[in-house]
Amino acid sequence: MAKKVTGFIKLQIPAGKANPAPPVGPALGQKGLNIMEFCKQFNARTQKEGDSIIPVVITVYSDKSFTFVTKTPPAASLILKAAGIDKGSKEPNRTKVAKVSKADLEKIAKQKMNDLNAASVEAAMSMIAGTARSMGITVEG
Amino acid sequence: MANEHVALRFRASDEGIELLHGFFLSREIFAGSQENDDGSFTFFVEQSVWDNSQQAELDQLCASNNIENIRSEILEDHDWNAEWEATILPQWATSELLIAPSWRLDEAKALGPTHLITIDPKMSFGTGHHETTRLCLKAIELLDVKDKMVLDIGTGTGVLAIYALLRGAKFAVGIDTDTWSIANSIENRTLNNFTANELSIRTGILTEAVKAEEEFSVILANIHRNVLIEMAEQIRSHIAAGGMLILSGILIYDSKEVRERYVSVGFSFVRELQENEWACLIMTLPT
Repeated sequence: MAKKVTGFIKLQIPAGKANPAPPVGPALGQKGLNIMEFCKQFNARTQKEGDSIIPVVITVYSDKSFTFVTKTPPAASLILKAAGIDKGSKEPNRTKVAKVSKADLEKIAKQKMNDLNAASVEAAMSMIAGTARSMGITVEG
Repeated sequence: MANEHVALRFRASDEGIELLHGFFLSREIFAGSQENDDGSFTFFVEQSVWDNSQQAELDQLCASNNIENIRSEILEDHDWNAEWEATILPQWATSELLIAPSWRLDEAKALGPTHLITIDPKMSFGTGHHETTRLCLKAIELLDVKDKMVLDIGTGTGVLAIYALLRGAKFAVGIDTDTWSIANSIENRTLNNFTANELSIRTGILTEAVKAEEEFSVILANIHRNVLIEMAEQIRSHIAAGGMLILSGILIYDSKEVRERYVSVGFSFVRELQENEWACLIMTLPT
C-alpha cells in the first residue's frame, strides 16, 4: 500500500548549501523529519548548480519519511546568472551593475512560465524585466 | 552554533515574490525562503547581517509594489531536530554495530550487538540512519584499524571516529566546521566513555584543524563530491604511505570523478561499496 502523504514543504535554498538553520531546520523539524538526512541528499544532488537558488518541494509521509523534487530557480537567481554577477545593486535606481538582453529575458520567461501567473511569454518577460530593474540590472534592447 | 535569523513574512503577487527574491539576493543576505500553506512567503536572513537601513529599503520596495510585510520575528537558535530525534529507535548500522540514543540503551543492549554506540544526534549528521554513514561504518569493518591513527573529516556526531576506536584504533581526531557538530561529538565521546586523549575533537577545515606534520594511517571523510574533490591534495598530504582512505557522501554517478581525482594525486583504488544511490570509495596510498 502506498504511504500516506501528510503534507508538503516548499522552500527555496542555495544549491549545495542546505543546513539545519532556518528555513530548513524549523520547516522540517516541525514535521518531525530528519533534517540532516534532507541536507545530505539535497546538497549531494544540487552541488553542481553553482550559486543558484533551488526551489524544492518536499513531500512528507505519515511515517516521517520524505521525498523531494527540485524546480527552476527564482527569476532573480536566473537574472544574476545571465548577467554574470553574484549580487545586484543596493541602490538600483542610481547604481546599475550589469545588463541583460531581451533574449536573456525571453529565455528566463520561458523557463519560469509554469511558475509565474502570466498570460503570455511577453507578460512573463515584463515581470522579469521589473525584477531585473529592481536589482540594478539594465535590460538592453 | 548557527546565527539567529530574522523571519520576514509577506503576502504578495508572484511578481512581488520575485522582487523580494531580487531584493535579498542583490544584497547577498538570502538564507532561504519558504512558501507557506496560506500562500504567504517567509524570507530568512541572518540577524547579524540585517540592519535598519536594509529594513527601510525593504519597506520602500513593499510600499511601491503592493507587497504586504505581515510579520517579522527573530528565530532563536534551536535544536530543530529534537522532534525527529525523540522518535529514533536503535538502528543496526551493520550486522555487528547497533547505534542507539542514550534514552534507548536498555532496549539496544537487549538486542545483543557486538558493538553498541550511543549517539544523541541533535543537529549533527551521523546516526546510522543514512546510507553514507552505514557505508563508512561497513568500510571501517573491512579495514584493520587496530592500533591505527585515524582522522575523521566532517565528524558530525563523531560516530565514525568512535567506531574506529571501538575496533581498536589507537587514537582518533574528529574535525568539523560546524559548531553544533563540535559540541555534539564531544557529548557523544563522553557517552561512549572515550576521553579527549583518545578522541580529539577540533574545529575548522583540514588546514586549520590539523597541523601540517600530522600524519594518519586511516582517513575517513563523509562529506560530498565538491568538497572531496577540492580536498584531494590536502588529504594526500596527511596520509601515511600504505594508509587507507574512506570517502563517502558520493552519489553513484559522481563516484568515477571522485575516484579519478584521488588517483591523480597518488591514491590507488581498492573497492567501492554501494547502497541505494550512494557510493563509498576505499582507496590506499601505495608504499
